[in-house]
Amino acid sequence: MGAEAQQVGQQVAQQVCNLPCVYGYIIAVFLGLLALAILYRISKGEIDLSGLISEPTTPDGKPGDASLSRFQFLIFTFVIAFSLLIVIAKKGEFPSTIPDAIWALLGISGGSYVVSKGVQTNRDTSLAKLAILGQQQQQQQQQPGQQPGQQQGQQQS
Amino acid sequence: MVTLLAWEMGLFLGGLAAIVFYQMLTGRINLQGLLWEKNGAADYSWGRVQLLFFTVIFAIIYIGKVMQMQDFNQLPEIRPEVLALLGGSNLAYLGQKMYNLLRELPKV
Repeated sequence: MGAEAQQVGQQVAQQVCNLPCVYGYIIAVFLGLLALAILYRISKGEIDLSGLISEPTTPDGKPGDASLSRFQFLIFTFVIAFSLLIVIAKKGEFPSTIPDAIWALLGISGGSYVVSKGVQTNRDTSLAKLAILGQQQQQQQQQPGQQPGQQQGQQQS
Repeated sequence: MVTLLAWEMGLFLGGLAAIVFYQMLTGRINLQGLLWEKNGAADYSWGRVQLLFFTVIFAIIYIGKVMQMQDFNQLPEIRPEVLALLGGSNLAYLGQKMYNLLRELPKV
């Protein structure tokens, strides 16, 4: 009787959920709790999203303005993620192929972000260099009649 | 288990989108200067306005296409004309950005 019950129990366990299945559920529950914790901390402000789409802080300490290329990247990321979610929810598995156009879309958005960041960084760096050059020229003008070597010697002493 | 994971993914993405949207509305996520020229003058940039317009329109249309799908074997295709439009819009935005940079830096 005991052996039969054990056998039935094992068969039921195999039909309902075997060991790999249990591990899968454990990981799924863990991921769910992790996602919940992240959402909770974001809502409480412990994970700060205030600079999510902002440019880096400027050299003079001002907070950066919002970046449209980052905003676009964010929108496209959400659109593709939600689209995948709908397909997975309806079909029950990951789609067999991802259209090349989706990769092209992410490439356009990502490329625009990288180029925009490069242009902005170039602008900030150039303006900072020009500001330093301007200050140096101003200092030289304030000390007229001195040779550059004499001025350098004074600076070193 | 797929159902559980799909629910988790949906709740996480939905929650994240809701939080991001709410924080954008309340100003916690900085949106200042999103449509301004980056020259300190706070002028509106038409390159940015058109890029934002096409981005939002595309997002709405694509999500609508996904919701109306009958066959869920793969994501909906994006027509080459639409890709070209988005690419052109981005090029216009970047072109204006570079033009403003060249105009802003004094000529040596």
